[in-house]
Amino acid sequence: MTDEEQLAPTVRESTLPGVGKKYVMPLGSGGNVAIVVRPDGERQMFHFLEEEDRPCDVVKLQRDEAQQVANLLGSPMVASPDLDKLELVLGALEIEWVALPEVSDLVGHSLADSRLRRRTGASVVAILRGETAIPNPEIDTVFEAGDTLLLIGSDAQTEAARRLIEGGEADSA
Amino acid sequence: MTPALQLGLIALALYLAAWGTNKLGISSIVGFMGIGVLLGPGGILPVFSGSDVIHLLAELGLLLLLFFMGLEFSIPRFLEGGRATLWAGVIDLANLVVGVALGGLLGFGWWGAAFLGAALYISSSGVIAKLVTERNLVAYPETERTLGVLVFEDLAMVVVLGGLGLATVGGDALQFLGVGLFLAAYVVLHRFGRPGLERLLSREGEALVLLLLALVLLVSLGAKSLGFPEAVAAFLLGMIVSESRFRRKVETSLASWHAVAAAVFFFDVGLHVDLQSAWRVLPLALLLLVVTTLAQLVTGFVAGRVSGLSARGSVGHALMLIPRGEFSLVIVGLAATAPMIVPDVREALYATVSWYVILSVVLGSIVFARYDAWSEQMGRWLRSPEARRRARERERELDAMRLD
Repeated sequence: MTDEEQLAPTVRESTLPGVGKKYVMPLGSGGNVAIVVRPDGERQMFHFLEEEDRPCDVVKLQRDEAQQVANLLGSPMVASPDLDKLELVLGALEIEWVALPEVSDLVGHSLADSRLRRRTGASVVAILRGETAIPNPEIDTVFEAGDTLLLIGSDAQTEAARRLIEGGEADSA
Repeated sequence: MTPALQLGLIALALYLAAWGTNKLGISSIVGFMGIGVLLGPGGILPVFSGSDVIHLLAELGLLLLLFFMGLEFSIPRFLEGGRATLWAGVIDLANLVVGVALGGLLGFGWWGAAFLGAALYISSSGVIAKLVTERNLVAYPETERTLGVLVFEDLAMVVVLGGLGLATVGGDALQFLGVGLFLAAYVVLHRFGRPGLERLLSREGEALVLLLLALVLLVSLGAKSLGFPEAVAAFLLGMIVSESRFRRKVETSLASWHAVAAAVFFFDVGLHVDLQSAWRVLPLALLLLVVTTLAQLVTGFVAGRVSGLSARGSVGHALMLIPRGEFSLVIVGLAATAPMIVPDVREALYATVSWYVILSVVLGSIVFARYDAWSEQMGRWLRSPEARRRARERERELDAMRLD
């Protein structure tokens, strides 16, 4: 990034007696944007094309709408670190789909019987059965062959759960 | 009718006027004056005749309106405008000359002509600021120039009104002394009263509102008792407060009072209009409107060009300055008490200028409603050959781009 890019664009401020304050910012793409702030908090945003002294468009914003627009315009700059952080947090979390083989020990047992959560630490958050989905299954839901389970947990937890479901006994965690 | 009932009906009438004009897409000021004309003592449905309630509201409206104008249109604002605004304001003074000349031609006498000239010269900051906001013209470059010229006019008017106010006192030495006393007190307050004023204005909420109401009313009425025009005193008080660091807070805490005061003021203007006698003064008011509007268009255009606006912007600047309002009415109100003007002339001045103000506000709101089209069209006719050439080139460039 060059020095020039780091400088904030210049804004010319002037008072409009009886009306409010006017801020004019020239745009790099030509023309400029003028924002008028009224004492009652209403904002008006005008777009002037290059070499025009008449705006081609105006947007009237109430105080709360102006706040929202400011949030939206500022979001790529303000919110991106937060998004990065979110990915970091999500990174420690594993969401996994595991199909239940017909030979699995779990078939015919209820979720409570399987003690899946106790033994592996992973939770079953949904079961896909044919065309239907069972979100947040009750503890008395009985597993059937062909079910697909949606598991959530840490890396190790979901891995342990997968081994348990797919056959081999694997108490861990 | 009890006073409370009257107040309720006035509020309802003004609300309906604002609602109706909003639906029709015209300025609410026209609605406030119109409903005053219709429901006033000289109107079609005379519900409101002169009463203590109306008198109180009108006086309160006028004083608050002028206090706010002092707050907004003050010397610091004027200095911000810089050299361009100063030139535009000086050229605009030609309208004062035209007005005085008209008064002379109409046989109003020296003093009558001076009052008429002042009343015809001054555009209405209140009306124009409102129209500019209603029509979304606030960001246009000519708006900044127009509001700057309005500050210039208002300051010039304080000087003129002070002078005319002194003149109306006549030969009475005691009253002369009173006006001198008020001006001296003002200068002392301006020079030494700042720390005390800042402490007073640092109040919050209803304390600030009540304090300001008391200040505005008592200072203006005090000035009046000393023989100084109360409206000008309210304006001067606004100017002092505008230099306070609490200016913003004062503005926002009284914002709704401001809007209501303006509505009531224009309603009262309408109340004073007698429809039956309109035919006698209307032709003269129309004549004045035509002449002064033409003069305003010429001077406004020249002032715009001199101060660096485009041809379109200069036409716009001239168009924006058409409406006359509160100050014109204050001036003829003052003239109505001036002993050196013949009673006949006094009456003619008041009736004619009232109609003149109404007509100019109506004309102004029509102009503002078609502002873009008219300023564009007239600007096209009046632009320089250089600008004409540049526009043609631009057109050609655009055509070429379309072919690609």
